[in-house]
Order: sequence, then C-alpha cells, then structure tokens
Amino acid sequence: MEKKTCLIIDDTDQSDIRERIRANGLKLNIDIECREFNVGSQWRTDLLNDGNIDIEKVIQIFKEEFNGVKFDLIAFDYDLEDKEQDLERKVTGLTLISRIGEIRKRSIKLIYSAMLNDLLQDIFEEYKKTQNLRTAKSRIKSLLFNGIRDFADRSDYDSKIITLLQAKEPNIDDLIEEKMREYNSMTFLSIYPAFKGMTFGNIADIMESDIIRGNKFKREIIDQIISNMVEINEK
Amino acid sequence: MAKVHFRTNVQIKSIIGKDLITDDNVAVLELVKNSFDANSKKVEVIFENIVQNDDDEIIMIPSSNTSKIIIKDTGIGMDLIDISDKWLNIAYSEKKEHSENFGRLVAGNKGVGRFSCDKLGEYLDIYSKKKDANYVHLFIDWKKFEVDNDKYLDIEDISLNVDEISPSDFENVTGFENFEHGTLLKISKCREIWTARKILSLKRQLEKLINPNQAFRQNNFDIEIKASEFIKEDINKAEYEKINGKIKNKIFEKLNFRTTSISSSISKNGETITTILQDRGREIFKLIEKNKFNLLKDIYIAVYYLNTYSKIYFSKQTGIRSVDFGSISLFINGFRIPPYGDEGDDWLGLEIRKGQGNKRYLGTREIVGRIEITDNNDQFKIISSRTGIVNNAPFLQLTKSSSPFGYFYKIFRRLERFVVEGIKWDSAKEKETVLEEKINKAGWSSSKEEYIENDLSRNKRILSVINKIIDARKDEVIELVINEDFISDILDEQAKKSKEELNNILAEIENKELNVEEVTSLLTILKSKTNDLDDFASTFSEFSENLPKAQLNKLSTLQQSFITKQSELIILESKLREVEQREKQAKEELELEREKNTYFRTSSRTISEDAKGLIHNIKITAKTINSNIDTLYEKILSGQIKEKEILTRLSVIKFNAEKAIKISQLITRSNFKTQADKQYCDIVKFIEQYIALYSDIYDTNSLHFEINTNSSSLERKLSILDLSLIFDDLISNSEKAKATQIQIDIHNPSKNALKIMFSDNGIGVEKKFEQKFDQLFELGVTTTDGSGIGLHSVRKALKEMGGNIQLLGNGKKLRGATFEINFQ
Repeated sequence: MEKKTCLIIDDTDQSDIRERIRANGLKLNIDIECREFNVGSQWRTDLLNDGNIDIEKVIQIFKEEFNGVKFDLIAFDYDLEDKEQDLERKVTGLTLISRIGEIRKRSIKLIYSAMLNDLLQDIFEEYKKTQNLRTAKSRIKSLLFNGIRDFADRSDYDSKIITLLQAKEPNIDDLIEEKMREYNSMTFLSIYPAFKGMTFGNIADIMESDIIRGNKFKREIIDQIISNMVEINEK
Repeated sequence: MAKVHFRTNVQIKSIIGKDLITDDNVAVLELVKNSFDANSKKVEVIFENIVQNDDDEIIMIPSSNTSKIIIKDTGIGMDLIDISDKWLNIAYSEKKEHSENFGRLVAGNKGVGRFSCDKLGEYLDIYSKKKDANYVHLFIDWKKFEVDNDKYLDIEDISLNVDEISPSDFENVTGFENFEHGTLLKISKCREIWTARKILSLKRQLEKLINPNQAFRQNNFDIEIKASEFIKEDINKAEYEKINGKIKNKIFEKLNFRTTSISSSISKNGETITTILQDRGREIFKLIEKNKFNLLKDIYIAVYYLNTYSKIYFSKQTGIRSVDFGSISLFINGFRIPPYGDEGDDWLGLEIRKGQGNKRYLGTREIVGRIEITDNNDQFKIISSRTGIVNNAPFLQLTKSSSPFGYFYKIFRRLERFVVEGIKWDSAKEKETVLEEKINKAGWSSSKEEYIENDLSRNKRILSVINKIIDARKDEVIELVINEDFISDILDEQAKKSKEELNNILAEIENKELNVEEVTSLLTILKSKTNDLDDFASTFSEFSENLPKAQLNKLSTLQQSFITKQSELIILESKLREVEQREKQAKEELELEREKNTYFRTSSRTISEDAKGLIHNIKITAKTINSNIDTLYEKILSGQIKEKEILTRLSVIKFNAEKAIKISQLITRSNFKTQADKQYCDIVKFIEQYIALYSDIYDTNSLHFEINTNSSSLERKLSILDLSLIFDDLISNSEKAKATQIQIDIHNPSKNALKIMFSDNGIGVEKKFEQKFDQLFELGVTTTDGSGIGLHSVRKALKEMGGNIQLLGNGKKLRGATFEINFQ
C-alpha cells in the first residue's frame, strides 16, 4: 500500500479530521499518516508569546518536533486567530507557509479555510485601509512564490488533502529523502565532505530546504552510484 | 380824384412766359394740353434743325435753318377773332367758362399756357385754321417784349400783325400739308439746346401726361415726336429708348400681372369712400365708409405694391424699371401734374417716413400709383409755373401725412400694414437679379413663383390682421365685405393641410410599434397642430358668418378628429408607460434575483464580518459533526467501536449541534461577534452579560440569578460560543434539579487566574456521587434525566480554554450543588 504523510497546521483540534483522512485514504489504498501542529491554540503555550503566536518559536519547535519526518503535504489553516494587531507582525497561514515552506520546499502546500479570491480580497482590503504596500506585497509574494498547490474550503479540505496526496507521484528526491529520514539518526561520514558529521535526518532537511546544496549532494551520490556500478560491472 | 387803371408793362410777357415756366418739358406739355383742349385727335411735336442750325446768326427773322419746335395739331383751330380776342388776351381762358369741351375735361384754364412758346424759343409763328375758314398767321418776336426800364411801354403798345394766308402759302411757308382745321405753332430759335436725352426726357413726361381713363371716355389722343435728326440714332434701340414715334400711354389701368394693390375712391357727391384691397390680383376686402374729408370728392387713388416678381414684370411690361417710372402721380382732370410722382420726387413725404422706419413703412421705390382728381370746381389750383398745385385746404386734406391723416395716407397706410404685417413684404426666395434672368426666359409663368413663406400661413395671417389693417371706426363703417372665396380657400387649404398632418401621424402610429418616447413625440406634434387649428378656428370665426355651413362643419369635424386622436394617443402613451414601468420593474426584479443568485457564487466580499464569522463557525461545527458521524457510522458498521468511543463521539456531536443552535440564538445580539471562533474576552463581563440576557434567550421566568463579581476580571482567548454552552449546561442542570435560584460568585485568586463558584438551591447531586464527584463528568453519567453528555462536554470545552471544572458538593453556598470553575 502506498504510504503518504501529511501535516495539518491549525489552531483547533483536528483529531476528528485526521481520523477521517486516514479512514478515507485507506479506502483508496493509501496509508496516510496525518499529524497536526496546533499553532495559535491556547494549549500550545510553547508557541505563544504573551498570547500571540511567536513565529520564531514556531519554526524552532517545528524543526525539533518534526525532525526527520517527511511530509508529502502540509495543510495550513489560513485563519490562525492571532491577536497581534500589527499587520506586519500578525501571523496567518500565509506567514507560516512562507517560513515553513522555506524548510519544507518539496512538500505540497495547501491553504484551507479561505479561497484564493477571498485571500486576495483580504489583502487588497487591508491595503486599502492601511496603505501598507510592503505588507501587501509580502502577502502576495507568499501566494505566488511558496508553491501553494491549492486552496480549499474548511468544509472539504480533508478530501482535498486526500486528492492531492493520491495524485502525488514519488520522485527521486522523495525517494532519497525518504531513505535518509528512514535512517534519520545515522551519521554521514564520507564521500561528501560538506555533509561530513551530519545525521541523515539533517542532510534530508538540507536537501529539502537548500536546492543548490541538495542538488550538489545528489550529483555526488549519483556519481558515486555510477562509479560503484562500473566497479561492480568491471568486477 | 383821377381815374386810374392797372397797366401791364411790356415785361409782363417774360413774367408769365419764360420766367414763369421754368421747365421746357412743362412748356411743351402745356402746349400739348392746349391741343388736347382744342379737341385735336393727335398732336405732333416736331424738332427741326436741333443739331445743326443757324441760330447764332439769326437776329431778326428765323430762317429755314433755325432750330425749331413745331407743335402741330388738328384741333378746332382759330380765326382772326380767336387770335385777337382770345389768344392774345392774356389770362383769358375760354376753358374757365367750359370745364368740359368736346367730351373732355379741359386741361388748362389759366390762360397763360400759350406763353410756354416764349419759354421754348425766341420766335413764334402761329398758323391756325378753322373749318371752312382761311389760315391765319401770327408772328411774334418775343424780344420786342423784352424791353427793360421803360415804364411807359405797355404790352399793348407792341403791335403784332396777323394775316390770313392761302393754303398754298401755308404749304410753301411751313412745308406742311394743308389741313382742314388745326393749329401749327412754330417756335423758332430754341432757347435751350435739345439733345437726344432732353427729348427723351420730354417723351417720358408725355407718356405720363394723360390718364386715358380719366381724361376722355371715347376719343383717343395721340402724341407723336418727330425728330428727323435722330432717326439714325433710333435704329437698334428699344422702343422706349427711341425718340421718334408715337407716345404710348404709360398710365396703366391695370398691370398685366398679379400685384398687391389698394384702390379707393371718394364718391362724386363726397359722401362715401369705397376701398378695395387686392392681394396678388385677388380681392381681399371691400370697405365702404363715411367720408370725413369734407373738401374732397370725386377722387380716385390706386397704389400698387411691387414685390420682387412684380418689379420684374413691371419692367418687362413697360420697358422701364419701376424706380425710374416714379411713384405716385397726380392727375387733375386727366392731366398729370408734374413733377408729382417723377423719379426722385417725394411730394407726399413717403421717403421721409421710410427713413423713420425702413421695415415698417413703404417708400417710393416699392410702389407705383396715381391720384386722380376730377376737379370741376377748380379747388386744386395749379401753380402758374406748372410745378405743382397750391397747398390749400383741399390739398392738405388729400395729402396730410400725420394724424389725423389725409385721404391718401388713410388709404396708403392700409396697404402698408397689409404689406408689412399681413404678407410680411411677400419676399421671394431668390434675389431679383437671379429671378430676372429666369423670368425673361421663355416658358416662364407666374405659377413658378416661389416665396419664402407658404401661402397658407401667409393667408391665415392676413385673415388674422385684417381688422387691424382696416382700422376703421365702427361708426364710420357702412359696409365691410371680406372676400368669401378668400376665406373659403384658406379654410380648404387649412383643412387639407390639417388632414394631411393627421394622416401622417396616423401612418406613424399604424405602421410600427411605438415606444413611449415616440408616442410622446407624436402627441406633442399633435397637440401643436391642434392648437394651430384652434387658433385658426378662433380667427376664422370672426368671418364665418357668410360662409356655407358645410364648410364650417368641415372645420369643426377636423378639430374633433384632432381632439379624438389626441385622446387616443394620451391613452396609448399612458398604457405604454405602464408597460414600460412593468418591464422596468420586471427587469429590476430579475436583476435582483440574478444578484441574489450571483451573491451566492461570488466571493464573500460583500458579506458582513458577522456573517463571515457565522459561516466560519457553522462550518467548523458542521465539519466536526460530520466527521464524527462518519467515523461512528463506519466503526459501528465494521463492529470496531467500543461503547466509550461511541459516547465520546456522540457528546462531541451533541456539543457541536448545541453550538450551532447557540449561534442562531446569539446572532441577533448586536454585541455578538462571530468573527472568530475564538476571541479575547473578559470572562467576568461575559458571564454578567450572558446571564443578564438569559431570560431573553430562553424566555423563562422561573430562575432567579445572583452574580457577585467582586470586581474581578480575566481576559482570555476563548470561544464565547463554547463558554455560553458551558453555562447553558450548568443552568440546565440546575433547572432539572428544580432549582429556583442560582448564585454565581467570581473572584481572582491571582492576577491571571479566575475562580467561579456556580451554586443553586436545587435538590443537589445524588448521595452516591458524594465521594466520586469526578464520575459526573464521565460520559453517560447523569444525576438528572439528561443524556449524561453535558458535563463531559463542559469539562472538555473548559480544558481547551485553559480551564477546569470540579463539583464541590451540595450545600456549599446554596442548598443545591456547587461547581467550581478555574481558569489559570
């Protein structure tokens, strides 16, 4: 059975939804492991600062909590109920996509609880009120440049998650990352000096977050594989 | 005492001769008039040796080469007695005794006309013959009478010889053939040089000399100019430019084309004035009124207004331009009184008036006409110099140009008003020069005339201003007749036009589907036409007395048709407006419906924040309900579910269902913010407000609430929906425990903590739970007849808010159960 992983970032409990996703996924022969990260909820005080979402804390804890965990798809709730009034500092789903997206580039991004035209409308309305072009640009950039695959309504985002996961074909990068994460804690010792001393899990993170370094590493691996194959062949 | 007498100094000849008659043409005219009075059927005015002569050499006797003017007639002639007793008798005029001779009114009567000969030349030979008598000859050398400073020389002292001569001598001397009777005046050594132009000028005067209508009734009178020296010059000239030839009478009885004119006459007995106005040759009205001019009678006036076409026709018919012809001539007893009416003469002051109002008054350039006076009583006295008539009382009554107007102006002003106000100058569409070319081409007829204004509106206006034009006092009017044909024609034209207009409108209505604007436009046109018709009918009614009833009925029928059509159009307009209004309404409703439908498909841009929040919350609750039901369903089906899980999921479903109900109850509150599932709120204030409106929401009077806040507060981000449900559940439990009183005590144990004590005076919890209070919060456990879900959900919801709940027991505050809720 095909295995897929997804993460739901929401300020409310999503256990019911995760259960549905798993159950429906199984019907389609997909084993979906779905986790949640409750940014903005009152019981995750470790993610808050004086009641407001602390984005740096969120990123740090994300890295810690999900180190070595590959996510095929990350679903972001757009409306995180951040109390922050300052729009530049207010954290929304777009903010998280932007920051988490940097470290999980290859994961499919889904925004729910808002449709694209609603999002754009919000950005424009906000701009009309505040005349803050910088924020407006930043938000639009988030929409454009963070690999958002789709938008979903809250009423059916679970089925959207399943659909997207079903459609995702594993590629070589996924396979490498999967394997690296499988041996998450093993330390890399040779063949690529740049990564010497790093765990496979760390390397997997780098490969996902830094395309250039990741590609260099992949090239090195391929060279190594080819040369091994040649060697084997010769032998 | 000595007897004395008037004496007549010889110089009197000049006084009454060449010095009195200053105009050569007048002099010739006087001599021609004498011939006329002598019953001559013709008179020849002959010019000899005008161009080349021996005048400078002649001192005593004229020769055959001396310049001559010969006036030759075939009148009754004179004999010796006539010559000596009448002709030579200064100031004697037989004509004074006989105002009419030979069926003609006599022209001259002063007895000084003969002295015109002195004006014309230095010598005079009179040859005259009566029937069956001899020729008589008198020669006068006028110089003999031109003796200055001899007071003793009387005119009688100059003797003259008159002879009888034989016919053959007559022929030999004069060079003319014998005649049975008549007079030949040979005026020699002309005092003035007669050029072709001068003779032509004489011709013009002779053309207008006699009014044939007035002067004689049966007999003709021909005048002929003979000037052999100018025969060559006459070749290739137009008739009216020729010197030689018979004078054609230029006094028109009637112009041979349609004009606008007015004619008026004072009766012979002077009692009435009859005036007829004609327009383009058709009589408009005839007015008979009392004559207030007591000194005037037997006078006729005719004045013609020449519009552009008429001027061209006039010129074509007469050979001269109307401005060159002159304006209003005066005739007394058939003979014109020069210079009245000559080109440039303004004896009636018409040009002075014109200068005061170019567009209001007619001037000499626009009219031609004549005044004919039959003066049997010698009222109008010709000035001896023949330059007009004496400005006496009758003349003033005739010509006065200011109010009260003289007879001429009384009549003339009617024509003037008609032209100015009635026919608006009757202007042609094209300029005179262009029309002249067209008219002079073959094939032209008056039916081709084109005017700026159409006939119908022109004629209607005439009708409307007729009374103003006439301007006669009612007590003076004896009879006024408006031409019935004129009125009838107008009516027919109007009826035809109105019918056409109505038909056009009908065609518009019938041929196509009209919208409201088109109907309104047609209605406006129709109203305008109806008003025109009504105005016409109103004007028309003044003159309708004598018209046949059938014609009158035609008009009222037409008016009725217009009114009927107007009514129909008004109804149609109203109906179309209604339809348009309904269509508009339907369109608007459709638009609204579309908008409503569109509303559902568009983004939530136009949805209020409250509605957005409402949708958001409903989605969350519904999603949660759905998910749990799906899972429950599947697990029950697969047999893979335990009772506890069933209860748990059912409690979640119930809680969310209650939340949805709560949303519908709270949505109407103006301070209910549903923007967010969670929001920061002061828990204490919320409880106070929620309890305060509890009876509004639940419509119950059975519970009494007491809240003690102790000035506490705690701000917490939570779902107020959930908080509402928590208190709903607690209150519901109190009701089920038959409580009538609830007491809520709140205080802050620390700055960021809150303790709420919820007590009632109900029956409390069962004893069996006294040691195991926590059991109450388990699913399925209930102390009332409830489902056992409520407290479990309460605890779960509080946990998510960062709070907790525990049962303290019975009788802690009030008689019943007391719950403690803590927020940290």
